[in-house]
Amino acid sequence: MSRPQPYTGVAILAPVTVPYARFSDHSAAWFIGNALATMLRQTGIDKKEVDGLSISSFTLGSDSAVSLTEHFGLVPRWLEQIPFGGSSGVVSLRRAARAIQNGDADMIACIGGDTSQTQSFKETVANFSTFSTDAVYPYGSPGPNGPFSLITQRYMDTYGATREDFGRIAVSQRYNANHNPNALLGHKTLTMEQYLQARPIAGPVHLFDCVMPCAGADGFLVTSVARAEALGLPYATLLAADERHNAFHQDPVQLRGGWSLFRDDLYNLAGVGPQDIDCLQTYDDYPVICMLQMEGLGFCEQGSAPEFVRNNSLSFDGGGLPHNTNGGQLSVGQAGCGYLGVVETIKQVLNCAGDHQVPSARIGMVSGYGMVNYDRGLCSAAAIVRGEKQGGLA
Amino acid sequence: MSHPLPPSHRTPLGFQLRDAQTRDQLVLQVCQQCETVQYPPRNVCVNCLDNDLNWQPVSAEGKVLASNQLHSSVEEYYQEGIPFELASVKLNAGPVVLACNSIDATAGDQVRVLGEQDEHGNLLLRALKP
Ligand SMILES: [Zn+2]
Repeated sequence: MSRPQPYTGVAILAPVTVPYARFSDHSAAWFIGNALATMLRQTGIDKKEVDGLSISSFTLGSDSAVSLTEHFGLVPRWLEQIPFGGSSGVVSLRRAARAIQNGDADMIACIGGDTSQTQSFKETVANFSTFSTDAVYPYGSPGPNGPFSLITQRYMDTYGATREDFGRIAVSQRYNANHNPNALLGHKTLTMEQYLQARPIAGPVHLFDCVMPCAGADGFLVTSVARAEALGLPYATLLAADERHNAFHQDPVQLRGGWSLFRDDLYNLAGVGPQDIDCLQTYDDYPVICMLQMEGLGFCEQGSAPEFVRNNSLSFDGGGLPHNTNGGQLSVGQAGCGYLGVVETIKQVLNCAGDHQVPSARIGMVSGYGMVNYDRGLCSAAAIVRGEKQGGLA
Repeated sequence: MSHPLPPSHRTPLGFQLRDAQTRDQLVLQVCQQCETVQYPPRNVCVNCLDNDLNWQPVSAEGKVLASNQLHSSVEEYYQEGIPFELASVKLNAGPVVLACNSIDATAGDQVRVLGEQDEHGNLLLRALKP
């Protein structure tokens, strides 16, 4: 099998977040447009220079990425729409990096954004996929809680994980969120006792294991290192990235994702190992899925994540493995298809993450996971980035 | 106020699945080329991609992978009937199905899975005693 070539010469810059809201009357295009405006304002780059656009959203309705070119008055020569749920941010970064390398575009805006209205979550769940329509939705219409409660139960039965183990992830993320003014739940503390006493949602999944769908957007720019240097802007480089879809489909229950199939190549290409990663963002639709990513990406063995989270601090300032350092979706909210972790990783390695900055972070890893088409998430992706010219933007 | 109804939307294959069930047999798609049994229903064989698929009785026996109670739902109909008992079952015939668990089956239990229509004509697969 051929291997991904290096992502040499690609620069990632201008990580921005349009603050999340639990509900909004604005459309997804409003949030995505504001993300674009913010990154252009912060960098001083003219809109006409943006010749590439990658969009991810569950809530664009009848619009698509090409509709947005007309909304925003863009004339891109490279246009992408990544509909891979929580892996979309990482996959967009990877696609955009290749387009820059190949000269298909010079300045690409990658944005994930969603709105949240009272019926939008139900509509997303009810029409998620044909398999879901025929074989999941009729069974209590649980949304993702149904399949994930079964995965969580099976993981507990197989590896001896306890609710406290999942709680360590949720509680440390809330601590991180308490240092992030953009986190929707950042003003509330969460103790292990509160975590354990939360109301049940589905089997072992309780309230603080679930994300809150909300409105918001995250985005970043991808260009060449030469362009970033000429602009004098802080930037990161992409050391490695990869993805797998529908991996291990013969496993009766998803106790592993596709990460283990590419992680050796990923680390080889990056020239680093798990021990060199200064901070890790995993896709936290449920804590058990964070564990699958820690295992799949080699931070611990298959089935040993419960022990790993017992023995390692996950907070941004705990000196262990700083994990979901802005609070993750569990405490910030869920919008924008996995862009949250990508943008947070870029901010961390540029050392512009504010009050939840991991001290002197330089190499960050972000993992994506998404699309419960039937009984498991189909997409696994990961990227390793390094801060080159560090600093924040106004 | 009208009484909420269970979700009745299915794909054309979902309706074929419903219409194929019999009282005492589980009927699933079987590939006529390679004999793969598949679920959820697909347009071509997941193994060999052939489109010659028949609805055929298959072994209804299987083993529970996980089971639990759903305490929340996005549909009003289910919100009124909470908790909903859900199980995932690995069929001896191959596929994994999600099913209503009306017998308190837990992981490792042997069960039989059969289809049943509710009063509105919606199909639900149920885990039953073997
Ligand atoms: Zn076949």
